Amino acid sequence: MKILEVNDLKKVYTSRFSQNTTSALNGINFTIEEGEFVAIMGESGSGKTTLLNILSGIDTATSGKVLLDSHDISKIKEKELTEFRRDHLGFVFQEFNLLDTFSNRDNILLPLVLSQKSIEEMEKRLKKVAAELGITSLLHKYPFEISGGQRQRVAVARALINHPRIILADEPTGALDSKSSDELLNVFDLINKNNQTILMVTHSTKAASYASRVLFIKDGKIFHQIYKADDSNEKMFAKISDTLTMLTKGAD
Amino acid sequence: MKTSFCVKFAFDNLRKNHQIYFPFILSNAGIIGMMYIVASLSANESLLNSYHGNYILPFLEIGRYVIVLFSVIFLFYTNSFAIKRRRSELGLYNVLGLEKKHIIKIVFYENLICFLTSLFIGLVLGFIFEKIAFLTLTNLVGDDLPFGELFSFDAVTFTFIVFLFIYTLLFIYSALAIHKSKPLELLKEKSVGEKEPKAKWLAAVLGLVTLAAGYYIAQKVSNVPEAIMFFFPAVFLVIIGTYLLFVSGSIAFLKLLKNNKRFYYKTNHFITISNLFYRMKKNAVGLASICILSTMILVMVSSTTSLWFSINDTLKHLYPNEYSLSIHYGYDTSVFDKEMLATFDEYDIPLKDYYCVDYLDFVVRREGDTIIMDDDYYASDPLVIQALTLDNYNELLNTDYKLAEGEVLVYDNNVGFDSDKLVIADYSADVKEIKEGMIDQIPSTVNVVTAQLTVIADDEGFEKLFDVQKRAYGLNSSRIETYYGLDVDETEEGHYQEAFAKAIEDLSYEFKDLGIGYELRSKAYDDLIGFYSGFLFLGSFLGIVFMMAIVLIIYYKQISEGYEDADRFKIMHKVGLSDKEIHKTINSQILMVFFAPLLLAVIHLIAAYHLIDLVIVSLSSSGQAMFVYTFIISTIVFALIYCLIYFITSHTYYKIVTQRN
Repeated sequence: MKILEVNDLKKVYTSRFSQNTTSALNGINFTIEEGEFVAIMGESGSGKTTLLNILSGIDTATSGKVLLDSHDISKIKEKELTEFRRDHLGFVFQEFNLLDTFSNRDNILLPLVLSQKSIEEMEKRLKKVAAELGITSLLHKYPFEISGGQRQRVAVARALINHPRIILADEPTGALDSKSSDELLNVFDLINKNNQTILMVTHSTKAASYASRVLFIKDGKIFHQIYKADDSNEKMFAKISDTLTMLTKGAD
Repeated sequence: MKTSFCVKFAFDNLRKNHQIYFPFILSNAGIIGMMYIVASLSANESLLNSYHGNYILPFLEIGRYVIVLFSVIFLFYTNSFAIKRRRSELGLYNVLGLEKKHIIKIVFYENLICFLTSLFIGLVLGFIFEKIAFLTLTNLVGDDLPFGELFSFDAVTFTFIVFLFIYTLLFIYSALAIHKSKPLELLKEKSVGEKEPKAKWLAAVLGLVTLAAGYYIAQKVSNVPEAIMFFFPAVFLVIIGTYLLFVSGSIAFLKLLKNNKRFYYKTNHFITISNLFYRMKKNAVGLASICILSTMILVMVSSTTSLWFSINDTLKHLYPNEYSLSIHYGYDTSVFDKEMLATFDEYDIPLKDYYCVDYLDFVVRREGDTIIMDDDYYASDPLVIQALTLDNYNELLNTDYKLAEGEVLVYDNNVGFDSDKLVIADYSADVKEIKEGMIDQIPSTVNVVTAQLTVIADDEGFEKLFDVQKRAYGLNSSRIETYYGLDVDETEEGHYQEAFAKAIEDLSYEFKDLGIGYELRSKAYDDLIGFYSGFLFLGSFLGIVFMMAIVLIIYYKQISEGYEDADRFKIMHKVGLSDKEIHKTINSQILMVFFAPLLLAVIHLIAAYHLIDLVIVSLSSSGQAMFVYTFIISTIVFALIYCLIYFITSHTYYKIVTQRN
């Protein structure tokens, strides 16, 4: 079943004082099926972040369509957008974005409090997701008291607790050391096996090698994509490396 | 490092941090201006040589020293705020290769620039507003004085030296702070997370107890000596209580709310409570200070205005007539009357009306319902007994009141007398009737209007009362006075002071044995208005200075809140809070934080009402009714100004928050 469908997405930036226009996205097309773990790779300035922002509803496209469960997100009204994002999307950021005024427990519960769930429901979901991610012992602590890897797992828990249709992760391993990165990617692997759809934007070949499919963006277009199928992570890593080399050479 | 480079650097820094330094310089200039004005007024020849000058001068002197003291505290507070906010900036310079001594040199020039700029602006403001202050003051006392030498070089020197001294202290403080710091710490400072503040239950309870104790004392005082004696202890307790409540009480309270899960995990409580938690930890001291300052302003302004407005009633009470004479009792007044009228005629004093009454008054004390006469009459529950004869009473009030033998008529002023027998030592009489108040035509000998019984008795009873008190008090006993109340037409009041004095001189010469004493209401007015105007001027002057402090504290709080909230704002937006929701929650938090001090200040004031009222009543007679009005009006005006400040400063806050997004 298709969860996300992106049709001929274009984004053109016009600066206010000059005639110059810069196009960040040049007609992007792809679909994501339920339960997929997709990584999007590309160099800085290739349009990754713009794409993610449009998918999240933070930015709007110049033309084209984004359908989430067949809903056109550009048609959702400003007022309902926040609620829509809260209920259907889960976000994981490079810089964790945990609130320092909340304990980890409260950070995770934030989306549920916002959508006004009952306290029993909150406890139930929290218990389940915390056990799954192995952070039960961290709940009463504060974000600044735990390591970066742990913080990112708390952030993942926050993204998962609302049972989102899809998780959008923006460079989730960008601020982590390699051990913490591995741990986090294993967490992604785990939740993906539980049929959670994930879309991850990353620079890291290692991170992308955990995905079931990798899309390569260059100059605002999907340049190439590779499937993992039954390959091991190592094999996938090699395939991605080759593709990146080819991509870079092609640019020269 | 070259000086010119340092100066340029310093200028750039000030410009870059204009959000901090612009208000800093402006408020410093304000205080400098105020200080110059009091210093200059207290040296103003024209004022000094005027009649009221003697009364006003002490108040100006007090004002001057309060402002000096206040400036030191205030400048240290604002300077430490500025240094704290700029820590990472200064740390960055250090990392980039400026040595600490260079940074200190730059800070020195920054301080110098601030000092010179605010001194210049402040003195200019001082020169401009000096005239207004002078006119206000002379208008209050009702004088029409020439400006005289308004510009005072001594006042400039005084202001210059005081602020030079303060700024030197500030510089030493900043230099030490920079010297002690480590660059890496400076850079990291802001990013360090904070532990959840612990609820200090003991301190919170202690705060409640001290506050309650302060309030209790203020409610319990029953007379003026007590009120004056307990005023400062009560104030002290309330100040301690306020600080403890803001620092610990608020956190303990929020902790309670947080522990109640059903309450805490509600959309609008969740973010507010946990943010307030952190906000309170950082702002508690500042908020408590705002609360104390607000209370001080309200007390000063409402009590001094109430005194000033009640001046005419006070005078009417103390001096029922424009002129008053008193002579020894027992003389044949018809001879004196004739001579007196003739003398006044001689001096062209257009007497309109006069009356004459014999009265006696003395102080006793009460223990329960019994009236006791001993030397200890100020110990507790003092009470003034005033007595006059029935004949005099009927004459005065133009009535035909009748008393049977051994009966008295009693006027009760704040005594609560309800017995049908009046017993004073071995004097006793049946009470025919009790009326409220006192007889206005007789001057009140004590200006403390706490309690007085006026006893109207027949001649025999009157004599008996005199004997009773004479036996009890011996040498300290009172004499019966014959009082003359004399009036001219209202429009002519105050015009014949000299003629009257001369007339009395003639009369005293002629009637040497009578011990003539006299008083002029218009003369008393001159004395009193000088005193009250000085008081009111001081009250409003300090009120303005404190208000400036409140403005700056609130403004700085808004800025620091703004910078901290900007990041949170961003995260919450990403996690799924709409802009509207964010605005709403942050707005309500700030509202709560900034209006808590105002609320507590008003509560303080209501608690202090009884005590202040007592003191005011002791200084004036009709202050009571006035004080209610000035109290309410000044509270409303203050609240409006407070709101205005809040809205203006919160604009800066929103600018900072939205800038970052």
